Amino acid sequence: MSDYLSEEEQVQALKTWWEENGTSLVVGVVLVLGSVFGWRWYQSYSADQAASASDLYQDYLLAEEDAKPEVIAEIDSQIAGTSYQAFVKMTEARRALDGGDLDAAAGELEAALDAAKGSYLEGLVRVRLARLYQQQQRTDDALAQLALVKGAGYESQAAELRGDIHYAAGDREQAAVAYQVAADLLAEGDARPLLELKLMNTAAADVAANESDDDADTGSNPDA
Amino acid sequence: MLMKLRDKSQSAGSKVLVFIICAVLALFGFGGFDAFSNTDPDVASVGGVDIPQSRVDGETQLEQQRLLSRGDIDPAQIDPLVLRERVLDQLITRTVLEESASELGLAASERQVAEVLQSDPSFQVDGRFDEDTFARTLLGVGYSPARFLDELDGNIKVSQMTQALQRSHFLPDWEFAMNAALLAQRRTVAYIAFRTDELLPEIEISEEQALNYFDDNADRYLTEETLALDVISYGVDDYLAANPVEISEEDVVAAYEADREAAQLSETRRASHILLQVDEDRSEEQASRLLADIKERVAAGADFAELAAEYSQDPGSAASGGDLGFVQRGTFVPEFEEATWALDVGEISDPVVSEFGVHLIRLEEVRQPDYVPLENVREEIIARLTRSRALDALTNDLLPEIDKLAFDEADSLDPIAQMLDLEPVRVAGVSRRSGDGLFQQAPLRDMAFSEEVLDDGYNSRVVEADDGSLVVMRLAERTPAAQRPFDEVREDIISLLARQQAREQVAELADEALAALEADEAAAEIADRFERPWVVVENAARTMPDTPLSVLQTAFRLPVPDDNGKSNAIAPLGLGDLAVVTVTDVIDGDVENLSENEQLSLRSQLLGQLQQGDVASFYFHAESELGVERQ
Repeated sequence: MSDYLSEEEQVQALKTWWEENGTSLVVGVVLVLGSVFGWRWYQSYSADQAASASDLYQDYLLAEEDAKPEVIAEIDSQIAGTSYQAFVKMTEARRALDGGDLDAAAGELEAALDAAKGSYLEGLVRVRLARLYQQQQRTDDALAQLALVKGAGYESQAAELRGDIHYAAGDREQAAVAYQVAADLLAEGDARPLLELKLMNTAAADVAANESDDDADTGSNPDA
Repeated sequence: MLMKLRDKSQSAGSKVLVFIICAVLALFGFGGFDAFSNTDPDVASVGGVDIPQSRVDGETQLEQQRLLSRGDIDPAQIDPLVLRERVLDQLITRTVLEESASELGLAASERQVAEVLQSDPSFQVDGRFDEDTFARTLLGVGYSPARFLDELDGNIKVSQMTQALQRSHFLPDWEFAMNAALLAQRRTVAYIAFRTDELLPEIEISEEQALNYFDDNADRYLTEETLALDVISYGVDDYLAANPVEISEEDVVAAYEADREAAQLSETRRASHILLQVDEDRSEEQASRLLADIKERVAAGADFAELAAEYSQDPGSAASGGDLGFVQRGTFVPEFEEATWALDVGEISDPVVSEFGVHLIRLEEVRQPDYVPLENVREEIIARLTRSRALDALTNDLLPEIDKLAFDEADSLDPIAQMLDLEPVRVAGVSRRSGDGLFQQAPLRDMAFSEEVLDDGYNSRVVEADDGSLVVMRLAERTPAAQRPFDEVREDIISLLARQQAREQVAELADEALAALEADEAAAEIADRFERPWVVVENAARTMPDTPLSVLQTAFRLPVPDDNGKSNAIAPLGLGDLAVVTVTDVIDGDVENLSENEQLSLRSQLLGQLQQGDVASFYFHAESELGVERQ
């Protein structure tokens, strides 16, 4: 329609348009810019937060070798709730275990689980917690922890560990079942050589279970 | 101007567009517009992060250059499609790791980036980070600084993540004991071997069988295609016959001196010294003064060795009169070496300061490798220099000239023959895989079978032979592959068929023996029936020095034996030989019975495997959460 208007009419039309829509356009632009800059500020703020947590974690790695507990505690308080905190707690658990303190190790791992919940690390921490509980002879807690492991990748690992726990308890039959589950859940491209050995080792589980507790029956040795 | 603004603000659609453009600009900067002008299709995406075609192509090219620069890979053996597939896999893996690090909220701080940049020697000038060098180095490997920093950022996050998983990994005792029992498991294994070689003497192949095979497989018995070629080869001697080279006496002497100096680097010297350490009790100056004193006493007739025994604080040499034995250059600290190599035999140095203290050095003996006098090697040197001049002339002057002539006058060798005053020589019997004389060299055979020579019938381009000769060739005659006569291949066929039959018989025997075992026939009877002994390996581990690995692998893959005590299978021994394997007993390993070393190595083996399993589980979890799509 603009084709039919004279220059003057066009200016007039523009003014009218501006009067009608000017305020809302300005408000709209301000809102957009505001939210855009707000979002960018938030992004850069969280990037800064992450970078400083990252630096603190590097500091921890240095402190860990010399084991300065007060430094570790200080760092830990500053990175609460981040994945870096989960890393620190997981490493502290390993250190506690190296020192033979099972209870402390379990405490650290439980704290790691809190920091890792909902992230990609959750399954990993739960599997490790189950390993530790089994060492504390809390088999039920271990199995309960494994039952909570969710998601591809970890589920297969959890099933293998469940097999290990059954096997350690002398239950080859259940172990074989769990190992088979682990093999079925194995991600494409993943390979776990030990799992294969365990599967083969429990393949004849029904009979093997009977003879595992006595050393007598070795059958006819085919000596020529 | 006004017109344009109004036109654009007319429709509701254009208002929305302005709005969107503002937002995009603010969010992404101008780079964001790439998203709208996308002529670069994506080949994969990882959790919403796209991997464009151009990136894969670029990385593939870089990878190809990397492979080629190693020098030990034949470019023809690189399949670009396979390579591209591998590069894409790597890119996906890297992206999965980077994205999962981002999902975990990991970040590389400026401090960490700076540390990496500053510690990389390839970005340094005089041991310090240099921005120009940084940019130039990156350009050299095809990276822009922005892209490099982006990847560096990813690398730092990913290595933080994987290291965290590994450093925090642990192996509780129960798990160690359980897995160790499995890995250290032992099995009592017996096997009976059936070998083709034992059966071969019994097998007869008739003339008719061989002939039938020959008829059915005629295309396997062809002669190779051979070529006869006219060849012009122009070498150092040809060049010298036409262009005598004069070597000046100066050049001969210079070359001789250079040889001699190189040989003299292996000169050895024997020195003695007296060392005074510098400490709170004795300053450097005091030590120097005392040594200058000693030097005077020796000049006045005192014995250096006795003084060394008395004064020297070098515990290694003092007792032997300060003697340090024969050494080459590069053995002592620089100050000491310099002083020692500046002395004549029997001369004593002034006090020399080194990091050990202050030394007084006497040169005892110089052992110089005898070097031949110039006259003895003059002829050799002249020959060497002449040859090297001739080679220079061949490569730098003649090669381009001949190559041009071979190309411009591609239908005849005559112009080249005239220019070089040489007749072409005919060489026959050159195949793709072998040839006589010059054609023992693969590059020459490749040239003979190249498209221009073989198919087009042109002159070849110039090829440099191993000895530096320049070679041009031209096809004279081509003998295609032909059927070989039966008599020539009869023996080969008979032995091939005999071997085939032996394999079949071995397979039948092994099957029979296995069936007998399964039917509970006594082991001794089976041995009698097949006239072969059982080999029994008591308590075999997963690897044993004297037992074939395939037998052990088969045995350890078998189920734990049942009440009848047997678990049987056939294992390949290679070349058609087979073994019937039976497992009679399985004993789980006991950590307690292992030596400390065995335990340690088993523990580190297991720790490694479980650690890897943890990282792999994490990776595959992340991969499935992020979602990987390939186009």
